[in-house]
Amino acid sequence: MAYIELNVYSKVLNLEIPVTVIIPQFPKEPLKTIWLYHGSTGDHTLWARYTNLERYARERNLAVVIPTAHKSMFTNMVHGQDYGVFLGEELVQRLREIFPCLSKKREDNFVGGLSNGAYGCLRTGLRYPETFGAIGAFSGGDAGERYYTDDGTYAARRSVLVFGEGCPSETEHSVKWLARQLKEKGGQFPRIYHAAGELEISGQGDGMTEFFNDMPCEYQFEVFPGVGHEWKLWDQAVYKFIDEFLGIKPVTTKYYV
Amino acid sequence: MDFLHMQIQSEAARTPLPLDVLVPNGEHKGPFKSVYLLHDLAGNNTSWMRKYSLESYIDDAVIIMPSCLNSFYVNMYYGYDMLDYITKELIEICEGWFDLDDRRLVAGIGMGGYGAVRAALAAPKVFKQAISIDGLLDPGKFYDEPLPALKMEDVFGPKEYFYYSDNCLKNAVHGKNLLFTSPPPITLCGKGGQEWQEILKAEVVETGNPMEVLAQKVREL
Repeated sequence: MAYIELNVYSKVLNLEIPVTVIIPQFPKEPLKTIWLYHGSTGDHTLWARYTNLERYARERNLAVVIPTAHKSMFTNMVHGQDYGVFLGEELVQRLREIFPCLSKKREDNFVGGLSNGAYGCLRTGLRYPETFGAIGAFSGGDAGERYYTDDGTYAARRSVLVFGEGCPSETEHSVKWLARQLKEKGGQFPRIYHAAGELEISGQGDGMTEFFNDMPCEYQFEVFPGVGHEWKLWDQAVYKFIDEFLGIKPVTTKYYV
Repeated sequence: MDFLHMQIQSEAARTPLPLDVLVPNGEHKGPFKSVYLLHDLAGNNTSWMRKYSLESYIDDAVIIMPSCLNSFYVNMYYGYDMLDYITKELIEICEGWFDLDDRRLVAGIGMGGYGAVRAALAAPKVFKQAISIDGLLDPGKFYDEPLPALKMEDVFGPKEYFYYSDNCLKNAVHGKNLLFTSPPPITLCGKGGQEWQEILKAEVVETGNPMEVLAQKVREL
């Protein structure tokens, strides 16, 4: 297993973006790949630093790609750059150019994320359902449902930079809008795994359960007891996503010590 | 080029090792040539990137910069099997990941220059070209002029053993791997090339910028 920090030049963003790649050293077949997003204050290093992700990947010969998306909320910013295009198109294409061993099959590619990244992976997965076969959203919902206005606070200003003033619920920023579009077009939905902690505000799933139960897709919501909006939850959730929801079981128990 | 810094697990050296790689940007399409750059004594994977503006000379090959400690890139008498790492495992790993063909070049500076020649003689079918820049092609002299923090016996074994082994390049040019094949073209740049020209049947470039020689050889690959 190799731990790689990669600096990939993005034409879409005109910026060098650091990306963490965890990848088996001797791939024998096209590698199943998880594209994993960080939270609002995170970067490409946190998943590897705060969870056992590399061990889960190592046991299963999985590749993991963790980009940095700065403060973009993983979407195409109204006042900023098209991070949504970068994440859903350019990054995937570029990484597959650099590593031809990554599987190009929809059923081998999964997008996941926590908090802001949970919104981000729902958005990416539903915007690019031909690329991703499953979504693992941990502790987050549809950021495209809220009303944004610049009240002078940092948090509000940041949201306005991403979504503009008002409510983006009828735009491509909205997870529900993207899902409705996909349903209308008769497209194939990614399977969706949605996790939350019992002790966090979005512990009840943000009303996503009702919405997705009416959609032609597989949707599973799970509350983890005794944990809040924290890495303890996301470590458990990403494990459960990989091992149970995706059903990717260990093939080796050989470790380096 | 896109820059990758990584930590890989070497089975040959039985240790994790850092590795830096440059991959041509999206305008160049593979399969690519591969350039293995070996660092000098006291160097590591970062040395080439820090000392030379590599990307202004080479922009259409995958550049692979391993870290091999002060091993002289040989299978150490007491230590790591770095020759196996460089000539077999590293290539297998990189070619399993990246879009590479068999146009492989190995180049090095100082100890790395010795390493490049040693690797080319050990794996003559693997490398299509070797370049040594100011290469320490006769490490045997360090038995008498000790290097800081390095025991020659640990790297090469006892002095007599070294002079009988293929790690002495004079033996390696007639070594067992070369019985049925000939070594790839070897270019010696900078200091100390002349005395090895005849032995290695090498091209010698004493003056000029070795980076331009390297870039030229990559283009010709």
